[in-house]
Amino acid sequence: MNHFDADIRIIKRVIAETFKGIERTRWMNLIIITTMAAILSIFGCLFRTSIAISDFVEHLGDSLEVSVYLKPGYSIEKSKAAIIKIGNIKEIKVIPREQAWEKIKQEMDVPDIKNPLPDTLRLKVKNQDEIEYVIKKVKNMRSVESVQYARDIVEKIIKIGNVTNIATLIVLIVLGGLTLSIINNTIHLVIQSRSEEIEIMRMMGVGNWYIRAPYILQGAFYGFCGALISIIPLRILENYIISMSQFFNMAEPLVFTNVVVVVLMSMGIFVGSLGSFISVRKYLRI
Amino acid sequence: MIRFRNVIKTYGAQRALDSINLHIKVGEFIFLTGTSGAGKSTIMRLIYREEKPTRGQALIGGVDVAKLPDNKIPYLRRRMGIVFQDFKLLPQQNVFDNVAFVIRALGMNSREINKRVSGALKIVGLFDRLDAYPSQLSGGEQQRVGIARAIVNGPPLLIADEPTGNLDPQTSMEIMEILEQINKRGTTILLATHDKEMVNHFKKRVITLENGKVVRDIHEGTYEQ
Repeated sequence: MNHFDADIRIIKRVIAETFKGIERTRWMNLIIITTMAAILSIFGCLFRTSIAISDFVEHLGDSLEVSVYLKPGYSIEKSKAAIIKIGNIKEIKVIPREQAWEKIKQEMDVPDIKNPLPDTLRLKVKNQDEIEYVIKKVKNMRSVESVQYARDIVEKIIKIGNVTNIATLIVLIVLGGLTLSIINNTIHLVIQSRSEEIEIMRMMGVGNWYIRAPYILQGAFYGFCGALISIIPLRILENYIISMSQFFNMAEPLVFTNVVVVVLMSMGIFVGSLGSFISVRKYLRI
Repeated sequence: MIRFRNVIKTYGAQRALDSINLHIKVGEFIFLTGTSGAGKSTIMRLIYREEKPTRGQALIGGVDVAKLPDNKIPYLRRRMGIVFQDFKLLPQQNVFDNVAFVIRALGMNSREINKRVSGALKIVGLFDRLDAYPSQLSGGEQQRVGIARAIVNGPPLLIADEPTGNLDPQTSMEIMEILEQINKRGTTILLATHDKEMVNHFKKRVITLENGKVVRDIHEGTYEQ
């Protein structure tokens, strides 16, 4: 007997046995898959939201400008050079007070008074995390009158992002445990209902893994189906996120949902097979 | 084929087997007799390594079962066929599948499976009932399926624990004749029973147990002196 062919036939038999097992589980399949889908949906949506928020913070930071107002009488160019020296500067724009005043005069009907505006520098930083450092340095410069940027918004969004991250982690642990126990108990019932068959197979010298593998694959199957269904709410969320980012006039998020789908699939399959593996180890005496 | 050296098996304080010494050669047909609780089933369970001896050595085909790692047990069992008193057939599978499922699990191809299952069913005289389900068969027929399943992989050893215990005397005789045929083809058979008539009729080696001890071991023996 060719060993390779025999192995292929054994794999085919194991898969056939898996589907027989699923068929025999009947209406319970529906309950398990629905539960798995609900759990994976909750996790997937939270996960996707937390990615969206950190993505948002990054993009917002990109479009967030820091305005530096200079004291009268200082050289714009010298100040600009000094700011660039601090480092971490992505872009710096010079707006002379005359130019700003002209612009305002064009846009609004202002009385003919002396130009009240200071010289202004608009800058963007490369690394948002170190924005505070840059601002502190700039503020301490002698030529600088004041500095302004939308600090509150950034801080709030970062906070929301942190909360979502923690929630995702907690949900992952709690629902992961719940899923494990659901699969574990289901497979326990399946094993119980087939105990006589298993006993005969053991006595006849059927290999351990041939007996065990169908149950583990059955658990993996539930995880896979659950993950497949959970893509639907994820798609809906994705549309919402896209319209949000269009509203904020940001670049469309790219592959994140696909990453989430891959994560959900692997998690579903992993947790499903782990749950049944625990059950097989505990209840299927070989 | 089977050698027990001073085998002791205890369950808690109870001693199920007490210094058993046995030597069974290839091709022998042996009746293992004794009242229930005498230790027949324990010996069987040691042979197919459902249990390990508490002390002593049990060698099956040269392998010390106590030292056999758990993951090697299937290989030991593939070299023996086991026949049960209650047949242990799968009710939702037909005769062919009941016999075939063991060798399917070994990855045999369908041509080989067909050949072996047909061969085994011919030996037990059930070749014409391939498609029947266990519920459609008589007790004797069900046990014949059980025997076909036990021999389908061509094992050198056949163990049968009270195979005729649930059958009427005439059917029991038919089953015994089939087992005798199998023995003549070279398979060693160890059969536990307390059916006096059968033991007396077939005149084989008889090993009698009492309270976990071998009290008699006689070739061409009968149930009692």
